Amino acid sequence: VTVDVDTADAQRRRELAELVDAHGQALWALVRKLCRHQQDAEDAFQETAVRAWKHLAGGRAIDNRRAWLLTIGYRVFLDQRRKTKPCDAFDDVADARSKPPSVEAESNEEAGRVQAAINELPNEVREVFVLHYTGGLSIQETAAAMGIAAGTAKSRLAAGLNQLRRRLR
Amino acid sequence: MKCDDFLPWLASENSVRRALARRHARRCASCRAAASLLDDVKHQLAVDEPLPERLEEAFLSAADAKETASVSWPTMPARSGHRRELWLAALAAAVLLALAPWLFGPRRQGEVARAPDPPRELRRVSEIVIVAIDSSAEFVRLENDLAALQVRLKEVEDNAHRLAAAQELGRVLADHDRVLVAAVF
Repeated sequence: VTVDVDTADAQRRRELAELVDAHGQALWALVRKLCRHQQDAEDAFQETAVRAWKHLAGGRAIDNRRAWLLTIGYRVFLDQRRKTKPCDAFDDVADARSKPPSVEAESNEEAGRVQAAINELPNEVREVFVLHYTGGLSIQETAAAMGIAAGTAKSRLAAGLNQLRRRLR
Repeated sequence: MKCDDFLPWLASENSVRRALARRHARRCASCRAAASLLDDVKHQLAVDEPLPERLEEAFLSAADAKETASVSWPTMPARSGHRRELWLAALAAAVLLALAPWLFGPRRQGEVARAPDPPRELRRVSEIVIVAIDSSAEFVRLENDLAALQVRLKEVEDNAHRLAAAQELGRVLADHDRVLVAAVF
């Protein structure tokens, strides 16, 4: 029996390692964009790992691991937001990508404006953008993660784009 | 079609709609600006940095949190025991309230207080087993199950859409064949 338990445990640990290998980066980007604060994002990332592990330990099958993991990450973020006040935004969002020095300043300024406009979107709209474009979830998966209809997710996307246009005009 | 109709199509998952919107945007300055803005937003929201190694290690260490959880188990019965006491107190209070008029109610003059009859046994309840459940772990498990089910539901929906599309395509092709046959003969 001990051997069986050890084997099952090793198998689950392998699954956890595969999970972070394949989708850890996307999960990190997702919670980072959602939380807006480094420490909150790290806490959410680790809590997601704990919940994912508990699920794996339950031995239940998962069909779409990416969508499943990112949905857990989103739920953790929601729980966290309920408990805490929103914190300051990441300082490094605008300069996350390296650019040639000549265009860097202008590009950073533009990126900063876009990021600021995204941050000003209502939570329910911003979250659709982050799940869809950062998490790479389809509209259906985004809607499922948020517990809304796919049509609602689509209309939030369109409404968000309109709001961004108005703000950045 | 107007610009307002094309705008949602820029972000559509349907590649035909997206291509139509982009084609329209090439001719329309306002929609071109919207398409460019959407590109900026996508760029801004893109996965932009690799996962730090310490976070990868932290993720993997979740497997060891199992031991921590089991260590914290012995503290749980205290909470559930406290809850059980509350339940028992509430039950006792309810029984007292129900019997209050009978036990402490006003007696008519001359009426001699007599010992109340013992309550009639309506039905015998068998032995009740009270178990302690780690409610937070149970909640997390249910939430994860729900997430997995939602993903599965989405896949079923996708399959249903594909099936409907295939059936529609079959009908169109059948109509097309009928027209073709009619045209030939």
